[in-house]
Amino acid sequence: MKLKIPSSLLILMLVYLCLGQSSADAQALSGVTGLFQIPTAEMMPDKSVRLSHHVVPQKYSVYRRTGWVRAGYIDNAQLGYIANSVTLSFLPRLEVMFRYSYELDVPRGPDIEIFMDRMVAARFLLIRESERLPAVVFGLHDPGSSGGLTRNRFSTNNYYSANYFVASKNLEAGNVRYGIHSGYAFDIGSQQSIEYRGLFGGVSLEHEQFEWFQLILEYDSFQFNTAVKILLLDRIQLLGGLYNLDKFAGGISYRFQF
Amino acid sequence: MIFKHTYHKQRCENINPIFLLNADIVCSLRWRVLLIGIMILVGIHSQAATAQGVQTETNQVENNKTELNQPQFNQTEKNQTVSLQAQSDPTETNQANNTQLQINQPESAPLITKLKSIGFENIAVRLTAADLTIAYENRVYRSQHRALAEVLKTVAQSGVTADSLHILMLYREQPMSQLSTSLADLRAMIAGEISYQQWQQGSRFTLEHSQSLEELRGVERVQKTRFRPEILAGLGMRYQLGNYNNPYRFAFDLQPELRLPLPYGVTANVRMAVPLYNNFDQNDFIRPSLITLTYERRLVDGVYASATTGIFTRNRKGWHSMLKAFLWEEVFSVTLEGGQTLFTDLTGNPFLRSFEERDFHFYTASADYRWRRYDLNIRAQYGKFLYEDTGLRVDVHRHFGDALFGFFFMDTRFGNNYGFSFSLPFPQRKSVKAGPVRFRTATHFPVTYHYQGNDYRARSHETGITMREALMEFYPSYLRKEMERWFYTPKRM
Repeated sequence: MKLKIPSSLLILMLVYLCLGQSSADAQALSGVTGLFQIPTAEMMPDKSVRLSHHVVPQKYSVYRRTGWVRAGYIDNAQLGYIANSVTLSFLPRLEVMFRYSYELDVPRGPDIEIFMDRMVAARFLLIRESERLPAVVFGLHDPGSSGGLTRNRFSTNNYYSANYFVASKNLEAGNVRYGIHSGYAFDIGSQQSIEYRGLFGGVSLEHEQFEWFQLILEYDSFQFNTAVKILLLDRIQLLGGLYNLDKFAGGISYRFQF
Repeated sequence: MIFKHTYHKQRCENINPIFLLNADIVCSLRWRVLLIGIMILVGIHSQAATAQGVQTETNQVENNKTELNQPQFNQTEKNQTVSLQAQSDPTETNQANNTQLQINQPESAPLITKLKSIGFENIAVRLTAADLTIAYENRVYRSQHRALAEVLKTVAQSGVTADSLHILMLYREQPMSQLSTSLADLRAMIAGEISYQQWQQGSRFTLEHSQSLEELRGVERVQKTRFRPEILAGLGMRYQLGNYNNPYRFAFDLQPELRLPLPYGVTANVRMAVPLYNNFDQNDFIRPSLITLTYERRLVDGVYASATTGIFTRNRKGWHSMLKAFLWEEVFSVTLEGGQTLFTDLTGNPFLRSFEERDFHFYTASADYRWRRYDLNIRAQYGKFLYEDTGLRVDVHRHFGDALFGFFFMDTRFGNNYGFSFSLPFPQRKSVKAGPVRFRTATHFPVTYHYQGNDYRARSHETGITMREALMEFYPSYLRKEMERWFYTPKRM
């Protein structure tokens, strides 16, 4: 007797086999370790590298919100921005990130100038999470500018600059693990905090039987967002969510460790 | 249970009093050698000397060594220098052979045959009742830790009996690093009776190797590298992120390279650039990329000198020299570099011809610190870089296995900048041999990113000198960590 298995069930089984372990140190849209948009105090294991490709909706991009982009460019992008990033845990307590973003749907040519932006970020783990204490991280995003580190403020292009402290504590209740994250972003001298301002925070939920799946609810200083993360093969992370419960954003990332 | 044995200490105390000197005295000696090096480099610069002049420099350093106030040390160093010269010069080698040749003994013949069959070169083996001393050069495996692991396995599986094993690793015929261990412990580790961690705690990895050099003096080398070329296939990349009409612009070049070891520690390098894809610049034709004659040499334990002349990258031709001294194992070292270059368009079109068509001097001094726990290297380099740019450059990089990741910051007369670099290993782990020629890919694919694009701040050029990068693969702390992957490690002991 021939057993007939529906193809959809086979696909589901295959996906289940591919599901990974906990996605606690997963990547946010901004490229650093975090929830959906906000950073957390989680760090990747030492000597880890993560490559990511995310799509950010134009409506909720920092470029639109701040109005820093030169007039004419921002409105060209209807779909949003591609943000490609590489994140590296350079030392056990130091995570660094480089991101390169550009407009998604603008035709290119010698006479068409499209908008592109680079940023770097560094995060320092100040306190490791323990039984009583939360992990605490200091983060510095997009410092300086390509016009000069400090000498030429006029030509600054640090759209995603941010300076913040963030704390994370994981708690378990029954079979569910709660990740509670809260941070505060502030200016340091002339280095404004733009990507986040003031308080931000969020909660992540994981069931111990389904650690590859994470539910996220966060406040990124400007709006509430919700998202889900799925971890496949312990290396591939799929992230999808809604900005302001309105516009979709998401992407894929790949992590490996040396 | 930790197997800590002190055979190497006893051996050093019995045979070579140099190891009884405290660190201060040794450092003092090195500081003197370094001082002499500075004086020589300054002299070279003032006289606009050529690479021929650097040969004189090496001789001067060796002559001056005898005047230092450490008679026992001097004698040892003098002997080992003579030994190196004897190995380098066929005539002198013959003379040495006539007077004190110790041919590789019959007991060690199977071991030599096995090492030779794997492909190791410049093999020398000396066996006494107490010690088995081996020197080898690896051009087979991409990584030196893999090569050392293979040598250890080969020795462990051989029937050779001795108390201690001393392995001297060579690079371009020059000794770089040494491992001393108990042969019994090694065999126990290979057999899985003790863990790698236990074995390495009782072993000694070091940059000090004069004693082994002395023991191998006059021993015939097998499968010499001279006139046995290597052909490498590398990949070159030039790129720009964002010019406001295209987010990515790239130029990829296939870079075949011929490396031919010559006598007297000289290596000839010829590297070509064959364009594969280019939407970046006008260099879309086949052209030479690097043509050099490079002389690299160990002067004394932990002091290395290099000199090169030829056509370099960044449209430069001329000469360049380097002196590197380790003051405390690989933890702290200082490096002096100097050179003079002229413009050449043989290697392609320059970025800004009117600016680059001048002669430039290059002289810098740098201090390196290595945080062994994290394989982290911090380098501060100050001086005159290419294009008459004077200032400071700080590099921080870390080994991630065979890969290298790092950052840099520079503050010079032309302004400040920062960026990152990484160097990823090519997948090929072992070279292919066809007759006397070895074929392999380049070991790594290096990429550097300057946050503020194409400019002339704190630039340097590739000169064919590879000693500084090569040494990093022989760092004792690096070998200790990276070799673990090649051995069985029991989960519970």
